[in-house]
This record gives sequence, structure tokens and C-alpha cells, in this order.
Amino acid sequence: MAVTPLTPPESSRCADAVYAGLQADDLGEFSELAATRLPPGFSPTGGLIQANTGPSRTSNFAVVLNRGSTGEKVVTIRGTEFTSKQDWLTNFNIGMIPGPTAFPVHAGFGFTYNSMKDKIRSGVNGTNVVHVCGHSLGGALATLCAADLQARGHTCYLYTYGAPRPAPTPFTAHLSYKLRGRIYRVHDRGDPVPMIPLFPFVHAPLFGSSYLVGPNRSSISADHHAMDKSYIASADKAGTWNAMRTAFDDSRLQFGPAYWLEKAGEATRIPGAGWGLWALGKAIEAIFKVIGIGVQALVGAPMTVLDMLAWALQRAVQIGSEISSWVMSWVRTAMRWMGRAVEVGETVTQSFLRYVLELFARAMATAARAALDALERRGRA
Amino acid sequence: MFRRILLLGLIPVAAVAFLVMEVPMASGKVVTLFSEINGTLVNGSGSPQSGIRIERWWRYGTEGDGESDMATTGQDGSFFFPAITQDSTWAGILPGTPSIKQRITAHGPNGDVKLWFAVKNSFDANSETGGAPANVICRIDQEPNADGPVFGTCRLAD
Repeated sequence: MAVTPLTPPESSRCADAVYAGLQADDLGEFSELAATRLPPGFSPTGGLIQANTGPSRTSNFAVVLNRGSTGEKVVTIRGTEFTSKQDWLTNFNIGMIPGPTAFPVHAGFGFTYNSMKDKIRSGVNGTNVVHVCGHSLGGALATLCAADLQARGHTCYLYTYGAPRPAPTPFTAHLSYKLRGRIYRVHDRGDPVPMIPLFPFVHAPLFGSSYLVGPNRSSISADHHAMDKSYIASADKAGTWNAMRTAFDDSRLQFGPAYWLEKAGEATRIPGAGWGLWALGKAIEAIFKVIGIGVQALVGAPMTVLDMLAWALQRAVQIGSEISSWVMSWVRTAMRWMGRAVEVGETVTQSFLRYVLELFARAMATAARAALDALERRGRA
Repeated sequence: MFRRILLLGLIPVAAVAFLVMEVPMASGKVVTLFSEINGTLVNGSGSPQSGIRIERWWRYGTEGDGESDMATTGQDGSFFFPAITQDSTWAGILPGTPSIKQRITAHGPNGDVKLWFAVKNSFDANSETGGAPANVICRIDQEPNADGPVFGTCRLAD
């Protein structure tokens, strides 16, 4: 019998309902808490699936659902809980580890998925068709889950809402091929989460359409990341994937290095302009895209991420005059943004690039750490 | 090495925070943990149930025992709980999903009845009821179910 993908309302409500599981003591309580949120005909089965997001943090992350009497199952995975520092640290840990298909993936997502994969595998054992849903961090975990289950012989469908980038190109290219036509990635133009982490992490599907909601938004806001305000509302309004599909107008993000460097340069002339950091990040990403450095080579190198980036930038300097000027411009702008007056010549060493990157990382880490500490001090909210 | 990777990982998060900090609401926001409840407690024939103690409980996040308050139904079966709000520095800035567990229990003559049982995953007022004011009629003599805005015996009043 032909398999019908979950509709946008069904998949978005499954991705939303699993958040109730965080507060549930057992599956019976989850059934009550999620009863008004699950789409009709979908019922939880098995048990609540826990995951580790740190050495001292284990919490309910996923649930397996029966899709009516079809014999199909749905794995749905929750995202970052607002007050959980451990959930946030999962997002921050952007090193790489081998993923479920052996290709490197984001370390935080990989560790967390590894801590729950046995229970997920057990929960869908004997089922051919498995739909995997997730929002935010849950979308990244769902992506790893779909790759894992597909590799174990299931036929997987993947639905993500506002998910961050889960892995570099080799993982997502492999997954995109294996699940061709069965990946439904929904993102909101005003949602900041799908924009991170930066290169070399990329989304799946690597090629083909995603589903863009809020295409005319002019601002970025945490509200645009919310399931109820953005994704469920859009999914309900569209009803079908065909209606949901829009021309993927991503022109704003396809500007080249020169555009982003110009924006970053403007930001350095305005004290405290936070978007300068964003523009600097986009500039690096654009430079990498232009020079097309092999991500596999980067990933395979026995170096830290900072070393990898420094090595890649240094290679960019060697490749061509225009690219070299972009890199040098980025270095100057970044140093200026950090308030460091330094004379930069026409060429730089890898060690100097690494120094700049580390300064950049430390400046941002200090700000982010201050934000986290303030969050912890307040305890809640 | 882990620390270095962690530091680098903070960059995009800080970028996001800085990016949205340019929005005026970054100075702080009042968030709603439990929306205002205007309720009426009735039995199966619609008769108001007076003098019944109603307990409201909620827990923000997953740690701790939560908090609670009480009300007693009036002659017309009515009860009222004010909104539970809190100032938040980061709501609207950090793109995480809040989690507030909620329960309202009627301590009736024949035992406790679960009127309201939900997880609130939004900071918005009245998100429990799809944006509508939580004016509800709750049954004291019914098995809780999912026919209302949340699991329980409460239904939105017309």
C-alpha cells in the first residue's frame, strides 16, 4: 500500500505535542497532557524516551506514536527547553563526532542522539515505515534519527521545523540521497535557529526545496521560532505540502562575501551594533562557499575546529587575489570590531589567523557566557 | 580542546542574541506562566457547586515542587485565579521553548477531580486556550477527557 506522508498539520502537531513529554512522569500522564495537542488518530506507544544532554541532565526527549491503524510509526523529538542550561550546552558543542551513518555530525546533537538511539530503535522495531518529526534541537536530532533508522532498513520520512544545521555536507548529502523526496524541512525566514551553526554545517535536504514560511518577514525574532506562533499556524493555514511550498527565495542569504563584509564594516562604525557579528559570520561562510574548500578534507584533518578554520582561511588567501582580499578584509574588520588596532599586510600566516579567530571566539563566548550566567542567576525566566 | 570547541560554539548563539537585542523588547518582558482563570463549577445537571475548594498548581521547568494557590467556589459556583506572571530578561531573545506544568483540582465531597491538566509551552497570556480568555465551565462529576481546551473537565464558556 502506498505510503502517504504526514500532512503539515499532522507533522507540526506531532513535533509540538512531544514538548508535553518533558513534564510527564510516565506514558499515561503524557497521553493526558498531549491529548489535546496530538492530531486525530495518533496515539503514544511504548514509553517516554530519555536522553542525556550533559553529565547531570537526563530528561524526556522523544515519544513513539502509532499512526492510526496504518502500521506506521512516528518518532517525535522535542527541542531546547527554555530554562535548561544543559539543553543550551548541547546546542553549543559544535565539535564533530561520527554520526549514525559514520559521517561526521555536530557533536552536541550526536552525543544526545546516541544516548537515546537504542530506545528509539527498540520502539520502532518491526515497523517498516517510520515518520520522524522534530522542532528546533529536536529537528536536528530527528535528522540524525532518520539517518540511523533508514540505515537500519526502515523507510523513513523526515519532517523538521526550525531546525539548526545538523552536520557537514557528507552526512547531509548521503541522507538527502537516501531519503530523496521524503524530507520536509520547514523554516521561517525570521527564525534565527535554522541559520546556525555556521559553515561547515548544512541542512538536509542538501538539494531541492525546503518549505519557507514567513517569506516576507523583515526582522529576526525568537517569536518566529515558536511552534504555535509560526509553524503550526502556517501548517494549518496551508494544509498540504503543495500549498506550503513557495519559491525558495533565499536571495538575502545568497549575497557574496563583499556584501557581508560591507555590512560588517558598517557595523564597526556603530558602537554596539550586534549585527556586525552576524555579518562577519556570514562573510566567513560566503568565503568558504566561493572557494569550495572540501569539507571532507577539513573534517578528516586531525585539528581542532579553530585550527580547521584558520587553515581553510589561510588556503583561501593563497587561492586568488579577490578571495585573498576578502579574507584580509574580514581579518581587519573582525579586529576592528573587537577593538584591536593592528596593521595587517597583504598576507597572513595560519597562526595569525588562528589568533584572530580565537580572539573572535573568546569575545563572543564571553558575551554568551554572561547571558547564560545571568539566566542561571535568575533561576527561571 | 573541548573548551575551545565550546567557546567557538557560543559564537552563533551570541550572534543570535546580539541580533535580536537590537529589538526594543530586549529590555525585559512580562511572561505568563498561568493565565487568568474565570471558572464556574457545576454538576451534570448544570447546578452550581458552592463552597468547593479549588487548588491550582504549576511548575516552571522541571525542577522543584512547583507552587500553588487556592480558591473557594461562591454561591454561583464561580471561582477565580489571577494570572501568574514573571519578569523575564531573556524571553523573546533566546529561542527556546518554555515548559510550565499546570493542574487545577477540585477537592469535592466525593474526592478530588482533575479539572485542568496541561503543559504550557508559550509565554503568551491565554495560550492554553488558543488565545481566548479562559472563561470556563468545569464539571465536578465527570471523568476528565480531552474534549476541552486542555485535558480535564473544563470547557470554554460560550
